[in-house]
Amino acid sequence: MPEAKKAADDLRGLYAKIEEILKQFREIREEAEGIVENSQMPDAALHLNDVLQHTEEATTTILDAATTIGSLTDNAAVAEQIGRIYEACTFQDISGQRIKKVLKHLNTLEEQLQGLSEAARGATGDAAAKPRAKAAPAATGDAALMNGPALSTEAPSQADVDAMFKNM
Amino acid sequence: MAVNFNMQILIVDDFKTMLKIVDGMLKQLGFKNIDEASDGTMALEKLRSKKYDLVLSDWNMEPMSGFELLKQVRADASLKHIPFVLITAESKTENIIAAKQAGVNNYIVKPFNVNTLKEKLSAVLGAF
Repeated sequence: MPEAKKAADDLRGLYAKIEEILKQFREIREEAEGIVENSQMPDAALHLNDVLQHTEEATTTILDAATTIGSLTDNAAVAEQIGRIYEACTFQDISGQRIKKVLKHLNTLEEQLQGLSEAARGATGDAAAKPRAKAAPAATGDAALMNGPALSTEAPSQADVDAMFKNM
Repeated sequence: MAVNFNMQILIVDDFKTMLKIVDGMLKQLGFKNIDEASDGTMALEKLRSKKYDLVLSDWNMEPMSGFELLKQVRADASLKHIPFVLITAESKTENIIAAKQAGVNNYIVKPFNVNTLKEKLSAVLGAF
């Protein structure tokens, strides 16, 4: 019966396609697992945390020294230079916020790769299927206002901010 | 009216170095009485336990941001009169709009210098 043979051929073709898709899922899973296991991400996070800690320590030392110098003299020229030290040290706050932002992105990327790996494992039937990790929802409300420092090439100046503030 | 350099100031920031910087700059300007808090929750506790004449706060802090602290201060009948200045790296238009609508007295973007701090505080407290 030609219809039965066609149906059987169709089923065989469908089965072959499913096998191919499963094979691709396995490859994706292995690649994702490889990225997570062999990645430099945890290492990068440790290095960044190190940078954060050490720049804070160094900046604290500089500021303590500047404050001590300021307390030893009333000289206006010295006070002006100390002011320049304070201003320069505000970099540490900006850098620290940028590093924290990068660390957050690294953590998110690692979680997403883990989720992808687990979802692919579930799809191939190689282990008990786990629910796919949901993408983090976009921030709303007050949380949407916490973006950290803008890139140096995009950040408005104090004069720009003053103009916005004045015109509201 | 002359600025009272003995006024009680509360500075709020989760970065210790920024607290040192603002403290140092305020002292360079002549202010003497400066307390610190590392986030909005701690700041609110201090504001409710002692009289303050000025708050200088960062925005991005946890568990309570400077923006939430501002809203809490303005919502509290015993605190709402306190001048409040944000010192923050947040510089988008929507941040400034939100802060102004919430009742901030002035807005300083990081990085900044002691002259900018003096100028913005003068706008709030009177020239000094």
